[in-house]
Amino acid sequence: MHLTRNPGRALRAGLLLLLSAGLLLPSLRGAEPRSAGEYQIKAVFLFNFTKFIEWPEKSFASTNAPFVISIAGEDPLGGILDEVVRSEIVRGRELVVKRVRAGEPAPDCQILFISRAERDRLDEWVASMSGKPTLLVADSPKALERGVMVNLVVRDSVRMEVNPAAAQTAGLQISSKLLNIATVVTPARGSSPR
Amino acid sequence: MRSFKDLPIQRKLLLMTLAICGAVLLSAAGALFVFQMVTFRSAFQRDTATLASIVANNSTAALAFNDQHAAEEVLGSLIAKPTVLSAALTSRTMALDARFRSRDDLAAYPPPGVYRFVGGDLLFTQPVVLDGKEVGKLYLRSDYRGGLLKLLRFYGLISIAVVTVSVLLAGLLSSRFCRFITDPIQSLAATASTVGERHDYSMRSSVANHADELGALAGAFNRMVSRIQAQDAALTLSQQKLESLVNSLDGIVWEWDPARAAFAYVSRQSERILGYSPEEWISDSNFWERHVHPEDRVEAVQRCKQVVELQQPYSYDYRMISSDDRVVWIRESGVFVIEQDKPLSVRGILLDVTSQKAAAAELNQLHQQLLEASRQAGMAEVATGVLHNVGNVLNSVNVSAGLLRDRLSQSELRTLNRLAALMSEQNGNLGSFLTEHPKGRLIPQAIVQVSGQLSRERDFYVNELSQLARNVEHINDIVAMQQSYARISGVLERIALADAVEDALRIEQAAMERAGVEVVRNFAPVPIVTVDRHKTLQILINLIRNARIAMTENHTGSRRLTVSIEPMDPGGARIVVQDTGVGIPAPNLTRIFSHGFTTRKDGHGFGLHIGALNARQMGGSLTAASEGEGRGAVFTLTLPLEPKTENVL
Repeated sequence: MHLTRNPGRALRAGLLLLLSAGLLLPSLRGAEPRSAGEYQIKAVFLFNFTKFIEWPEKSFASTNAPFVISIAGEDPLGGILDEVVRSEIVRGRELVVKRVRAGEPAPDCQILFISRAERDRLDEWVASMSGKPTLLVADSPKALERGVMVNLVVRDSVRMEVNPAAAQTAGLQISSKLLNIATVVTPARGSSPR
Repeated sequence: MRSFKDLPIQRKLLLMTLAICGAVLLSAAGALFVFQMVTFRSAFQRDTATLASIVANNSTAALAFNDQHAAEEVLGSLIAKPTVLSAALTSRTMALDARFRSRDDLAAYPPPGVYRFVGGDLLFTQPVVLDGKEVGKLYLRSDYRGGLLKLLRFYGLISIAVVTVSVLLAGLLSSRFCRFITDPIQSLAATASTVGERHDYSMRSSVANHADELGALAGAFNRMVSRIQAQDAALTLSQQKLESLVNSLDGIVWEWDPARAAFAYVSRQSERILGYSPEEWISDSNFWERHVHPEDRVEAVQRCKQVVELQQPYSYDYRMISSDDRVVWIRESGVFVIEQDKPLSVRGILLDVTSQKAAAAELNQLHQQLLEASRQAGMAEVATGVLHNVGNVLNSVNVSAGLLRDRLSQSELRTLNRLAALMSEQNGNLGSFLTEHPKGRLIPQAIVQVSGQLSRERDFYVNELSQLARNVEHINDIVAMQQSYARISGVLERIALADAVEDALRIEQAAMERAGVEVVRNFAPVPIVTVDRHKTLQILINLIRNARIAMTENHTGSRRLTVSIEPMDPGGARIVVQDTGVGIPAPNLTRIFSHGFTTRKDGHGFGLHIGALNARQMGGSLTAASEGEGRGAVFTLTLPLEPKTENVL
């Protein structure tokens, strides 16, 4: 009934939807070239993980220690993430974005984003973070099989694949809400990356 | 349609119970209804808000991760909530716009926290907050009106069902329980109506055994009936007594109702006295009038009307015709029973006075006969006097006639006849005979002598005949007087009393002259009186005769009759007849006017009696006085100027 009550309004809303989808879809469709939209979304995702995942207290050096999101190696996000998290507080902690070069010691951080640019060194990044209560996030195909806990994939839109078992091993608690909207994957070879 | 107050008590109680029950339930249901109406809105708003908050909470992840599909799934769960018409979810930061049955322009929705009602729908906006930050908005459109109608329908049905079941239950219980009240009442009512209809005061109500108010009522009823029974018996007894008393009375006791103009009661005696039953008398309102003697009817009815107008006790007589056509004289007496200035009834008695009437008629007849006898006797006395006088005069007439006859037989007419015969024998020689014949010459002288003789004779005859004429005239007078007194009595005339007294004296004149009675007249001037001439004369003759006899029989003293006429105050006259006769002994003074009293051998004893009666009839009196035996008597007749009363018998 409501749909037909005001055809003009409904039509306008539909047009608006198509228009916005039309604007978004071309940039999301292909993996290459990487559009700013895609990374914008990924940056927001990274930030939103802080709200749906619980880290153990021991992952922080002190009670005043900031919440750290690290970007491994090459940074495709540019300054987008910094923009997103600026002056955000997560569970009473300051949110800090750090960048880690390949070969540098494994950083103390809560989230480590290993971008597609680092997919060749993915295994190394995973190995270096082994046993730490850090959420490893990648956006490479089949990344879950290689030990990351969350993999961002682009289908019609940016989607998540989650390995809750791996996260649990790391001492992380993923909210059911997040699991509800993510694709839950349990890799055949387990959490062992090697 | 019968009104409520005419319904049987059982029905009333049932209806009352049902009405109370229904009213209570309806008011309760109504209150509940109103309460639900009032609270439904806020409850609906609260429900909507709660639902919105749950859905918003469930959609945080979808919004956070920009998952259109997940957002639509979350909204799709609203299908379980039929009141939700449509929903929309938008992201603040990203281009997410999930819809559930909605094509709404979201600008129509109110700001968060505000409930907006549009056309029976509730529009509500719920911000989706993630970690203290708004990440999007949930728009809900709920069917408020439909929910309300559904609720009202639901409550309506429930109310009807509850009221129906409750009223049925109440009615069932009431009809069971109200028998405890109605059964005794019906029993009592049945007893009461039996008592009322059959007048059977021996009935008693069994409800009196109950210890409640109805028992008390029935007890009171039984006591009342007992008392009525006793009173009824007493009343019946007293009524019988009264009835026998009334019926033993030698008269018809009656009661008349002026309102209906009909007899209300007539006692049994009507059968004995008139031969009519009280029933036929009462049933016909014209009965009495129809059975009054036709000659008395008009007057009786007229009198009846007068009596009703005057409302005084009354009594009058009339005749009625009995069933066997006898004429019955009735004396009717009645009194008015008046209450609050209105004649309630007339009660009285009809007495059979036929025998009294007959006796009175007989008495009247006797009296008439007596009067007639006295009149005839009086007339005889008058006639005796008249005849005596006429006889005296006739004697003179006879003497005059004899004398005339004798004188006529010796008349000188014979000498004249002889002379005439002598002269006629001469046949034309009359002249010479008178002059030459010796006898002839004597004739003229003889004629002269005869002529003188005849003149004397004529004088004698004239004298004698005028005497005779006077005597005849005297007879004529006497006869005329007798005729004037022999007229029918009862006629009143204006007469001069002196003339009446003279007439009476004249009748007695001869007898008194014979007896040597000296008559003294002592007449004072009196006015003309109006009396019955015959009766007055009869009284006067009687008095004068009595006086004469009193002075001649067994009496040797002086014989003087004094008749006085004196005026009387205030009007009328007195005639006093005084004699010097034997007088009346004192004991007889009171008896001389009684009928049949006489002291004379040949007296019939009613002269004075009739005289006294007649004097009274004319409004006067006749009294006697005497100083004793041998000292004379005085009789006084008084007469009024006019008779006071009509001469009725």
